[in-house]
Amino acid sequence: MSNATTAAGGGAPAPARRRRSARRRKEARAGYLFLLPWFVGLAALVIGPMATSAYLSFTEYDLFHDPVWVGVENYRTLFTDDPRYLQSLRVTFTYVLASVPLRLVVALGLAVLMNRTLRGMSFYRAALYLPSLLGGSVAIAVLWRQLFGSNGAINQLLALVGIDGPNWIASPDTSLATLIVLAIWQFGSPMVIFLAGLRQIPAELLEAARVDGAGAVRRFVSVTLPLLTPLVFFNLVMQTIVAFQAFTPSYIISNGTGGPVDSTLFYTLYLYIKGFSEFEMGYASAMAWVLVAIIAAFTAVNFLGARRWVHYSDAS
Amino acid sequence: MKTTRRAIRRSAAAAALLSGALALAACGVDGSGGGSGDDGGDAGGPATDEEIRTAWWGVDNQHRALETAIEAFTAAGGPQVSVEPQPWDGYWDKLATQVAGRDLPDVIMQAASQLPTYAERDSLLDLSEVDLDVSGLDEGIREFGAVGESTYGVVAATNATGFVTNEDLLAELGIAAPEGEWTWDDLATFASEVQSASGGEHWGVQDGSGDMILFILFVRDSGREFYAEDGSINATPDDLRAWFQLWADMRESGAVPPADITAEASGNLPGSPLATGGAASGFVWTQDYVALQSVSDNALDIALPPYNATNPSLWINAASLWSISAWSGNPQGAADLIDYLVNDPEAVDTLGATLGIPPTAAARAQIAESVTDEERPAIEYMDLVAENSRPLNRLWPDGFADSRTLMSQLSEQVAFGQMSVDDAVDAFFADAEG
Amino acid sequence: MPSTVTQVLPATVDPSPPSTSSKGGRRRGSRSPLATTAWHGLMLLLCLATLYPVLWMARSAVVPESEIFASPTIVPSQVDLSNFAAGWSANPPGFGTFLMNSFIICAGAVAGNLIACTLAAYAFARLDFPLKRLWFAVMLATVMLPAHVTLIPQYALFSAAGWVGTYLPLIVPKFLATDAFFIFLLVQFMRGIPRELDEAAELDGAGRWRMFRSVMLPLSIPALATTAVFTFIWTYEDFLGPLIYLSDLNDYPVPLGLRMFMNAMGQSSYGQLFAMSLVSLLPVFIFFLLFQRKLIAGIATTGLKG
Repeated sequence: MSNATTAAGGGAPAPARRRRSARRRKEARAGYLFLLPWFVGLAALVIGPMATSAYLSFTEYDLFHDPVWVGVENYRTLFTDDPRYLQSLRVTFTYVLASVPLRLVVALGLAVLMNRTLRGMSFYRAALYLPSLLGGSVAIAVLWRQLFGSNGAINQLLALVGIDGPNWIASPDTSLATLIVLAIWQFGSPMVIFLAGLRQIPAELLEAARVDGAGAVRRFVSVTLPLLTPLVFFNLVMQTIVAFQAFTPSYIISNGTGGPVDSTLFYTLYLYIKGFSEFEMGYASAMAWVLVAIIAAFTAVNFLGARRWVHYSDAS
Repeated sequence: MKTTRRAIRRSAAAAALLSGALALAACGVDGSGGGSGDDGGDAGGPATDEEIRTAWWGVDNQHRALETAIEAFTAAGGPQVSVEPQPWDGYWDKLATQVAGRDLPDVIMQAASQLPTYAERDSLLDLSEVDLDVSGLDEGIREFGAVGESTYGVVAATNATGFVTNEDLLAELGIAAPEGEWTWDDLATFASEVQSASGGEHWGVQDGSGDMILFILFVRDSGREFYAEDGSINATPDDLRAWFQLWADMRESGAVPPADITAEASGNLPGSPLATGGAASGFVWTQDYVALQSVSDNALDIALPPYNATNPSLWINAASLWSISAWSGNPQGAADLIDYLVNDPEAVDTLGATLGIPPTAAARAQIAESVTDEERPAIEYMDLVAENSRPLNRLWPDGFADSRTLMSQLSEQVAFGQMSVDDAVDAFFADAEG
Repeated sequence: MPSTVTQVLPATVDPSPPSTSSKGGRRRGSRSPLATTAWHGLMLLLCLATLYPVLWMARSAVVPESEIFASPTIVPSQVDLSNFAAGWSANPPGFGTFLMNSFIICAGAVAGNLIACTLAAYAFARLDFPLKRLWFAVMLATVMLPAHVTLIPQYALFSAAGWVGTYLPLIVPKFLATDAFFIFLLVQFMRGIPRELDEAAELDGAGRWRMFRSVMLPLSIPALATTAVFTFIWTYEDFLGPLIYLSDLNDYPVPLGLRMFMNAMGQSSYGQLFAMSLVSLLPVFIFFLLFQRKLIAGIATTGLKG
């Protein structure tokens, strides 16, 4: 793009053009300088392992022996000869499509609700963040059994109104739902990002809208939401990536099995089982790169769609 | 000097891994994947002062006991030892990563199910290359670390499966637990008695259909072995069909908990039907029996699983083994440490029964007085097993762990009604590796 | 073109903005005592529903082991703090050491991410340079690969460097901006800051570095605080990295320490596990409470283009 502009500027007086291109060179140098630590990290720590895993995906590698080249065999097996893999795809897509939108809606709703100054507000905010602090703690496994077990709190509540609840956590029909609830429950990080974004919105704009007679809903839809779109976009992109890579919830709650009957077999959990329990790291690497392709496709769609609804304040 | 060699080997492994396609060539030259052949020169030599790294899994009291014993080993003139204790969760991930990095600890606690995997892939030292006295170990236990002609592990502690019953519940229902010689069909009879006597309030026995160890007992009960000498599966599809059907019928009649209850209890001993009083019996490892008793309000008894005197199906099992890394810089020092932990009276005193039941008769006699009340029934049970068992014909083959997982998955699918017994049997024999 | 609200700003931006930014909120809050009470009621209810599992855990930490799973109540039948004492000293070298170790690792990680990710983000958000789009895509791509498959090559790398058994593999990568999540987050925040501010500084003759330091950094405080909080929390709870790279119990951080209360044989001491889980929540909770003021302090910027 910058080249095109330079070329188009052919009609401008020569000194000005030179000044502009000097400036551009300086800016490019500054850009690369600011990126220097990242470049070092990329070259030293990231590219090597990424390239290795890409190479391993075309090999049979059991960790003990040297990798043996097998071409696209791993990729072929994935899609033609591995029902558990297809099951893990099903589970993961369901999880992503259900948990990401719900988590974001809850996070945004609570962020808006809490974007005000009031006594005790910081306490509420911190309290609502607490579940996310538990993260992948081992205690979560016990808590979730206590909530969703056959004799858990949910079923005891249901029993009060005469409903005989299912065994949420151990029935293949409902077990994934309990993990989606867990994802929604840990809404803290997108909420905090939304909150920070809401604070960036100039009060004057809202005030102006108020003077124009816009109600609360109208102000939210036509002022707050558009200004928040860069962060909605960020959360959407990152939460989608994170959800595709979700591992810990299933790992700790299903005890590392993805059960019952593979109903919570997340993509990365299956990858992990293949790589570390069955010592098929080549196969696991192939799985990883297919996941990269899937995530990249989703991210690309998100970026393309973003042109329609994300508004940047720095756009000229 | 050996430290440097080890460092070079690690760097070579890293370089090989990272250089992508070059890996093949690089490793071919430096032989880092070669294992003991390459390192034969190290082994058998005298112990050096080089520090030994020791890794094991376990809990607090096991960590404390082992650390005390290891400190005493160093104090008595052994080399320095750094310890790497872990809970079971995570232990194997870390070990796998270390294998890939050619960075294994010198002394490694191994499980019988994993040992063949590590041994057959050249990451463990053949113990004949070091000076290590295992003559004190029980007869059937000495071979437990053998893979093929070589021995790769020394049993650190033993265990066995037992049939655990809720004595209080059975007394209340007026039902006697099976005794003496009994069969798997008797188990079904017993379970449905419990179910009907309690008016459907209690299950007779916990679902054991997915436990390959129990299926192996079932096969051995007929005098045959589960694995042929060459490591292929010797059990037949008919065996497995009968096995799955036995449990399916009990599940059908309500003598065994429904699938979701079983799934809920997996990996959660305190929540298992036996611990909560829902089921009158279950099959449990000796160390789990001790744990179960501590979380259950009822008196639990442990006895032999279905038993016939001509073909005892039970064997004394290795709860854990000690192995030495094929890349160890001080294999004799590592062997001395293992020797100390297994044979030295002082170490035996320190360890007691914390790791499980000691593998030598001398050690068992020595600690008989000092064990806790919870541990005592387990130790007495092991004596019973010793008199009524038959050693396995061979150690688990490489594919054992995978087959065991496969079986538990298939049985779960059958239990949830997602697969027929026949399909599960076919799937098992199609995929299970010998 | 949407309407533009521009306001002249002082050349140096005050990093601690006046609290007038939340005018609207305060007015609404102080409208009527009844509304305030209703609002508090709503929040308390929300908190109760959300925090039920945590409260149940707190109750379970102070009742006898046998009562834990017997009831879903959050009201303890008795308060026995022995689990805290026992859990604190169980698994030597004890929980105090685990906490200390976690703080050291977290401090390094937070410093690293704040410095390196901010620099990189500034370049992506504000500077124009060749191949920018490509590098941005590469940056995003690095978060797409599941960590489990790079674990082993990375381990080989750090092992060859002789860093295994130290905190270096956990901290050094942060100083090299390997957490692309935060670069992207900071980019998105910075792009929300109007360019007029940079341009004003540039007219004053400021170079790129000064514009970064005296315009962008002060304006990005909420985003920096967010980065600090998330880095702290995610490093604090990371299990896999410490598991692979640390072996000595004396070096263990909290998550590895907590795992020692669970065990495959089921002799877990749930009371102690819960007690120590609560204790481990405390530092992050306090850290969050302190930093969230910065985080949502808001900025007195205006001049946004809508």
